[in-house]
Amino acid sequence: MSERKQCVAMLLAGGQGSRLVPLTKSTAKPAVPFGGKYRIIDFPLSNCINSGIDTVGVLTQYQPLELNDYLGRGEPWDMNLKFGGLHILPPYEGAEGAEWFLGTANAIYQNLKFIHRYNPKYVLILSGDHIYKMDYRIMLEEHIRNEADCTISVIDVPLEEASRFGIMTTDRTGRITEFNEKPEHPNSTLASMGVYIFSTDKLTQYLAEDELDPNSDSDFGKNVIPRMLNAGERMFAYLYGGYWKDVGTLDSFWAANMDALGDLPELFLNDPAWRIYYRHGNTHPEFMGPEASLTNSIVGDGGALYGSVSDSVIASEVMIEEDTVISDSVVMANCRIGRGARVEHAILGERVIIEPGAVIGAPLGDGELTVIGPNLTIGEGTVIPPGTTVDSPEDLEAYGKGGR
Amino acid sequence: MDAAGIILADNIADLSAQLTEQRTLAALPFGGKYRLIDFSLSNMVNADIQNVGVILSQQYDSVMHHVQSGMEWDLDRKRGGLRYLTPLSSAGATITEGTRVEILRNNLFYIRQLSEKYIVLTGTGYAGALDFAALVEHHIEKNADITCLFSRNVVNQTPLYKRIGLVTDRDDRIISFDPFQFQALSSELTMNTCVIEREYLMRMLDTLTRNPRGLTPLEALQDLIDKRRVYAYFTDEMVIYLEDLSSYLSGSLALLDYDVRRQLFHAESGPVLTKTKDSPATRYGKEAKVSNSIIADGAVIEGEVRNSVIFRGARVRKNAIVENSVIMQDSTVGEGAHLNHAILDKEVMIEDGRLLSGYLTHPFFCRKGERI
Repeated sequence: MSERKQCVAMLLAGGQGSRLVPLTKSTAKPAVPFGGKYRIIDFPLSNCINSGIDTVGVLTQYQPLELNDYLGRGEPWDMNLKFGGLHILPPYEGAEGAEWFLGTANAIYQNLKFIHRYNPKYVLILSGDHIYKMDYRIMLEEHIRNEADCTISVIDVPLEEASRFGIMTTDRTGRITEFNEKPEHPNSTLASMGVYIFSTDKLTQYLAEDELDPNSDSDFGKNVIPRMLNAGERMFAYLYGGYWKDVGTLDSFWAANMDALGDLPELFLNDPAWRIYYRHGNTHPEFMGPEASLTNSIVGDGGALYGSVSDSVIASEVMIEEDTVISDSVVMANCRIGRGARVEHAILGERVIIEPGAVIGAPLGDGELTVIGPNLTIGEGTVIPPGTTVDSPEDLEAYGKGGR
Repeated sequence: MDAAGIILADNIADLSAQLTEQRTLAALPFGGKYRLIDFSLSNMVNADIQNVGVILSQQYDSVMHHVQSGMEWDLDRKRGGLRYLTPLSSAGATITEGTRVEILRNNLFYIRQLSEKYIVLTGTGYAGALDFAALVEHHIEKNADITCLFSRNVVNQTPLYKRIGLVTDRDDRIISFDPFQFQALSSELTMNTCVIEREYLMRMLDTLTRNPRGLTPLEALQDLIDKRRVYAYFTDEMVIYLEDLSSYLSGSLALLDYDVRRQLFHAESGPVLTKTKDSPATRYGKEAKVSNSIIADGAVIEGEVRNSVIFRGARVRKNAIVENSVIMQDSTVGEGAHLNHAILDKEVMIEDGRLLSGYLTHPFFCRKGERI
């Protein structure tokens, strides 16, 4: 058994995900279900193990219960190891007192001891709110070839979207000359994916410097990266050409789910060479009823489907009764959709019950996305107009018969 | 539960010979994502039996690969848990095509090591959620030496107790059986599932193998029934027998019945556990049509599927029609092909436009890895 790891990954999973409410009301964003079978965090974790990185520290803070249960000892990702493996790193109390993670950089700073235990040459920083399949090995090779201190993975985005991202300007060799966090007038279209590789010594050095700066927000994008750039360190951009989506908003979360549909989906989940691993429930195979209709969709198992489903993502243990119409929607696990109900261009959180005849949202193109938070019951015949986000039973009172 | 379990993962007869050519019956895929041993193992752990020996006799690679450490059944324990009992695993053991008595005798060392009072023995030729805890309770209540389980609710065959001409008294004590039928079914002694006191089993194995009076196994069994308290435990829990191709097809298609699924997958005794595969969700294409079918995760359906069971990772391409059939893991039905009453074993490739049809009693069968 080796005494060190070449590269250790640190996965920032403590964010609140406030723009994903109601899906993140009682769970951390990385634990939000995705693609019928997965949770968001399965993507970076599977990318790690598929890239040969078997040591991952997962930094948790906000609503960690469900996430911790889900991660366990990392068995689903083959990360239950004696040396290395998956470790959950919550905020803790030290001799000098206890402190929450104050920012992304501070979270890593507080866990440098974990990193140094494996004596890695490189540290990979990841976040828990992106859906993508990426071989980090190729990025690491480039980092090594460039003799870089830090390599930032970027994608080429349309110019009109560039101001939503951290934007890099590079010279001809790919070396970063300028970095602007959410610039108003972007002068490049290379957007940071929030995936960084640092050489461990430099990371340790700059995190320590950042700690001493009372004006710092302790954020990689805002503070650490600009500081390194100003100091003239060797910073490189790594241009990634594959599928990547930030699922930080309800609309982008919905859109990323839709990317898994089609005969040749943009987000191809059936690739045996790049499997996305996940923790399983014990579910029997799905039953399709005699009158079921099902097109351009993906469906989990353990449920039964008697109605009509098109262009949708249906998770496991979902019961869909007769005469229902579900289109362009994301239905999470353990939902029940009663006879004659319609669910169109909507997201249903886990364990939502739609009683018979209720109408949720409107056909795609006919208004905004409708979202029903987890554990809610929409009463018989209730109509939830398009563009509504239902977060709590009180929200339902406005819609007549309401729910529970 | 003061009972240990022993699963006989053997091929006691040439049942479903084609399906078990390359694997033991215990590893036979069934119901979209299971293998037969899942039912025996789940029944054990659902009865809180935490020490389970799996006796393997031949072609057991696929069983071991499937069950592995028993993790999915919470049987990877430091104390007890899963134990594989392979041929030649102990001194004095012999490779035997022999009777279950001989097979058990070879594993006497394991039975001796256990400390539980009772042993639940079960085979692997069935799919069913059976409450073994109730069986043991019944055994204790009757103060029996051996209690054999029989289901009155067999979906696709005549119940075993009728086939072997079992005669019981009013208290369900077994008086006799029809030796000719019994022999024809070549199940010896265990009749698939029974419970027996461990100490008594050890003594009995000793006596039966030494057989001082030179009785045939059948005579020895009748002798046992005459002298000891051998009881039948009749249950209405549903069982699907899987003995040959036609019972495999009819048993698979029985799952399309709501009541059968409910009794198998939502039994009070607990769920059927199996090895996980990290399959993605099932993907349905733009022209997919499905009705009255069981479709496991990881399958890709672009054509039409009716009254069928589709396993994990199987693929039905555009304009293909699959009806009344079973398509096992990772098999592909090419564009425009039409299958009726077919069973495709794993990794079969049906090329575009093929028309293949059997009948319920004579299913069209493709061996693992074949290409048509």
